[in-house]
Amino acid sequence: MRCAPVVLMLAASALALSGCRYGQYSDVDLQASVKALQSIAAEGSLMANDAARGRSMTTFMRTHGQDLSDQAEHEAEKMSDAPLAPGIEKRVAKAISLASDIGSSIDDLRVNPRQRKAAVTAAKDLQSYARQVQQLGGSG
Amino acid sequence: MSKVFQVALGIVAAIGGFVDIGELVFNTQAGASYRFQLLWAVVVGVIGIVVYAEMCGRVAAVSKRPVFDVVRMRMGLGVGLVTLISSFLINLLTLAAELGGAAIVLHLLFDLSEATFVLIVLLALLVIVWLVPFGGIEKLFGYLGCGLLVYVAAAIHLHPDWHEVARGFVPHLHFKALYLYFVVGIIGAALTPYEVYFYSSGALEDHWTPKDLGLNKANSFLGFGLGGILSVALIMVSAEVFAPLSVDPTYLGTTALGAQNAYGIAGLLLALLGMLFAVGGAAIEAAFSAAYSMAQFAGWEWGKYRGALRAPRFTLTWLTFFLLAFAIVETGVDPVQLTQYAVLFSVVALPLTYLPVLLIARDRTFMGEYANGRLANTIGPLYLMIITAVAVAAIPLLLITQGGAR
Repeated sequence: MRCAPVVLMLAASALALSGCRYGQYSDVDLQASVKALQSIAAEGSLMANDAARGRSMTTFMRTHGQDLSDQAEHEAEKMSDAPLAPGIEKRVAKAISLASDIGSSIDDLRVNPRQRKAAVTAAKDLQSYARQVQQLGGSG
Repeated sequence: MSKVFQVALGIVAAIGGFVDIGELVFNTQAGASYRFQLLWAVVVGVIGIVVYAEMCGRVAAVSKRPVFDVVRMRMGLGVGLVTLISSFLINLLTLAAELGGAAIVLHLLFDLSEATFVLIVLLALLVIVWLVPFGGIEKLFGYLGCGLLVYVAAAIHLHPDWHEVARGFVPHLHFKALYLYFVVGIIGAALTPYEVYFYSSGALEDHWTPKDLGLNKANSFLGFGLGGILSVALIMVSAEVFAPLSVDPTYLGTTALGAQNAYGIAGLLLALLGMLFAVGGAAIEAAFSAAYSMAQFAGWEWGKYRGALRAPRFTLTWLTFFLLAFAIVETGVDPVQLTQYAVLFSVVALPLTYLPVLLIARDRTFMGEYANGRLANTIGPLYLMIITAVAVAAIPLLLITQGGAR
């Protein structure tokens, strides 16, 4: 019984610390999504570079690529689904578009993991997306 | 020469603690976020586990009492029960995470569904544990887990800035929540209680006597030292490959990508093979730790060496744990997150495990001539303070950083 106040206090602290505002997608959330997308694009580019040099396995490219592509899609869904805080609409729209591009490039890589030319293109594209997403994060 | 090969117990116990699925990702995240700045935390953790594992092995070899027996004897039934329940939960979460982790590795290698591989991993581990003697299990998982040494080679191959690496070994604290979260996680993972439950019970499985105290020292230093070297290597590879690109590793595949970046397909295969056996070994370690704890608490016959029928309740316990863990993984929970939470929660239980060990190991009336020497009596209490500080900080840091997310 004596534990109850402690548990309640911990739960309240957790909510306060997490900075949750239920229902609204805030600038803080956008920064987190931008960071995640930048990371996905950079990692995808790293993987594509290895594929371009014939230094990876088809199954690994497909399965790990799927994880990255799913994560990009998930970030896009998060941004699309929630009502947006005022003033971030344009950046969110750009981020959603980039998330879609990142996912597509990784999917191209997954479909043709042995085509080295396509992997070179994917690596360049993903590098460029990583830069664009990073700029998006800094432009708030 | 044969003595050299007897360090398998230390290796498998250390690999379970240092480079299980959670640590493979956690160390990679630490390197990606803070480059070499957290290397000192690995050293702090390694010294702690070497000192305490040596004590646990010594107490087991001299008194024939494994750690859980000591906890109950020294701290009484109430504290023993709390420790038992917390170790049950932590072992179950860890076992579920390792089953899921092994399935992820196989999925990365063979592209069948993870759910199929979870079942295959469960059946394979059950068959191995049932049929292979304890010594064989130690060697199989301990030595094949050494495929992870590819990260040591990669860490050197990637030409790090050795001055920066050296600076990373100098302890320094930033009062940033995420940095402290990694410090607590790295030290906590090195000292995970199930390592010492497994290690000390394993010493009795291997029939250690006071004559084996040299072997105990070798196991503690070499086994856990190797675990520490692997941890350092994972951080270094990540600092070289992922930090410059601001990659935030959240998948086991990302950790494998580090080895691929250094050595191409050969590096990738070695890394995945090492991961498979490290994670598989950690799964067996977690299941056995749970069964050892239960049997030792309840006073049942226990030990793999007795055979399934001569220790039926012990056997039933590890079987049940495997099945419960399988049910948890089948819910679709993320194994990486599961094990990271398990590590952070296990940190809270650290003092309950290590205080009684220290009290027994330094007790001359109990241990006679084999009681702690001056060094163990100095480092032991010092680490108890570190362990307590880490235990107090773990949950607040978990909440503040939202599980390391920020």
